[in-house]
Amino acid sequence: MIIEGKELTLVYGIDKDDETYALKNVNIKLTEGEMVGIIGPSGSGKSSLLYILSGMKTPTTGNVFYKDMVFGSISDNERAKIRKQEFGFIFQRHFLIDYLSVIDNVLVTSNSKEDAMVSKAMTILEKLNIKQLSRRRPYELSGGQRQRVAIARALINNPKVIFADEPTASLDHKNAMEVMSVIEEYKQNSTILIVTHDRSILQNSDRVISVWDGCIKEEVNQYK
Amino acid sequence: MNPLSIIRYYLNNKKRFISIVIVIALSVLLLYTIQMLLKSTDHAAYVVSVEPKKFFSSVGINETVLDKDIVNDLKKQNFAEKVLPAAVVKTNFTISFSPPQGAPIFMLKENDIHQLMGRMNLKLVKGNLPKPGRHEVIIHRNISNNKKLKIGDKVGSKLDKDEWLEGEYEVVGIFEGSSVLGFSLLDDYMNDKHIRYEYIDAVIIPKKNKLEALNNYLESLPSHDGKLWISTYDSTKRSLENVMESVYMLLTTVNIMVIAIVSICIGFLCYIYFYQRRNEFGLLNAIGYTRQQIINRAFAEVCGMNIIGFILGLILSMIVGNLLNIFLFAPKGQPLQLWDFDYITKTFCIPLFSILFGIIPVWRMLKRLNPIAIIEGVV
Repeated sequence: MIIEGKELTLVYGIDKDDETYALKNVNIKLTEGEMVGIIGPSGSGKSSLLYILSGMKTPTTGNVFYKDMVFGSISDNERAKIRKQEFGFIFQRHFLIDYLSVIDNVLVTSNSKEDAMVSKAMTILEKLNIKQLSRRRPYELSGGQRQRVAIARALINNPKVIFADEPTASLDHKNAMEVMSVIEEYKQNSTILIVTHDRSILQNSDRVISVWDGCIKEEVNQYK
Repeated sequence: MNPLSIIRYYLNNKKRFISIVIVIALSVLLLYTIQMLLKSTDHAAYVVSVEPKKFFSSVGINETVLDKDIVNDLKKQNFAEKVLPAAVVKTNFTISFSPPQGAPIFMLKENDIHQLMGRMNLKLVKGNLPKPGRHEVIIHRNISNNKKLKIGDKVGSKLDKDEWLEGEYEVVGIFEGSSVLGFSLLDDYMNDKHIRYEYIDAVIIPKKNKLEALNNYLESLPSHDGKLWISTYDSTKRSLENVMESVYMLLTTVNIMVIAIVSICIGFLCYIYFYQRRNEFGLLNAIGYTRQQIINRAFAEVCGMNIIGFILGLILSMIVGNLLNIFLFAPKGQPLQLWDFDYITKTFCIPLFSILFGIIPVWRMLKRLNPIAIIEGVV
């Protein structure tokens, strides 16, 4: 087990009359080298779960355990350090920095332009079939190409865990499947958590967890 | 160059970078030039009126000649090396941005001129000293430039009714040195004025390191119904400061206004530019950069632009100052004071306050940064 969420509850509007439960007593475990899909309709709490497990958000109650650390007992800066060094993020929107080239966007996480890092970034870009675009700016790329750059950015630091929040939402089906195949390649080295409402992209995931109204409704182990 | 280095940001955002740098540089240029012009005005007035009083003091009585008792008393004092009979008149000397000034022409005996020039380190660079009976005058190079006079030219109220120097004098010598003044012969002046007394005014040259003691003594002299005038280093300096006080007050007001306007403009520009980059900051925070790291980077960017703008402004100021000096002010005998530490401290207020006004709103914005809201497109 690499990351575990225990009794996770997230309530919005505490101390106000309109308390809303985004998550209710959710328990989840991710093991190393596992690819887990979280599926559910909009507002079901699946993105909130990703934010909490990645340390971007603090749950109202419950805790997240990562390796031998408890997110609730470490500082924001320490959580940020873990996110930077050990996690990779892919969001629905690419969030590329518009004034940086593709290669610089990929290297933003490490903020290094050492030869080894550049070489590594070029290898990832090659895998993603966008190596030839490395000097271009984001506005010169198509939506699919931008999302591939965002994926490269997530992979550059050899993350232990990859968090992907609707990574294919802005892509057509063909591009979505290509992107997923690249992400899946990293399954052996990383734990992958993919939040989506498109079940078709999770066909190669190990488990699919359905979230409904802030609770885990169903968990399917696809290889059993 | 690292992707998040501030140089990379400047290179990839040239328009934003240049807009801020130019605003800072031009503001520094404006403030520096104003400081330089007024300091030069002050200096021009200083070298005409105060600087000579580093070497001697003078005393006289309005409307009549100096009492021989006073002269004899002065001679007895152990701090007075020489008491020279003298008359002090003025010739017009135009100083830009200053009330009308006059450069003093000291009427002295022939030998005394030579002695006083030596004491004041004034070097005759053209012509010769005035000779008796010829109504000749020697002047500092700045006066000759200011009045467009050269050797052989004549000056005086006979030729120009606006000229303060009464009569008609021929320029026979031009000298250089730290004090801006002129010399002519006392005998010619006394003959013209039909004055027969020995002293009309007195120039007192102190013994070495006795100027302060001499001045203290002079200032303690009885006032003779307010008619006695004493001109020492301190008294002329005080007079000049009084004249320049309103000018400096105006300068301070202009300084404050320029600094305030520029700082507020830069503050707005920074806020707009950083607000447009919220997605970048949200992403950086989400992928593991701490708020402090992001704020530090923003601070470095703002500081860098301000410092570069400041340095560019100083370079521009030196170029503009030199050009103004070469083509406008030096030919008028009012060379600019191109460099003064005071210029730097005053103009440095521009980047200092611009950084402050630029970073505070950005800091407040980044402190409230909510990466999840940005990722979800809520803000």
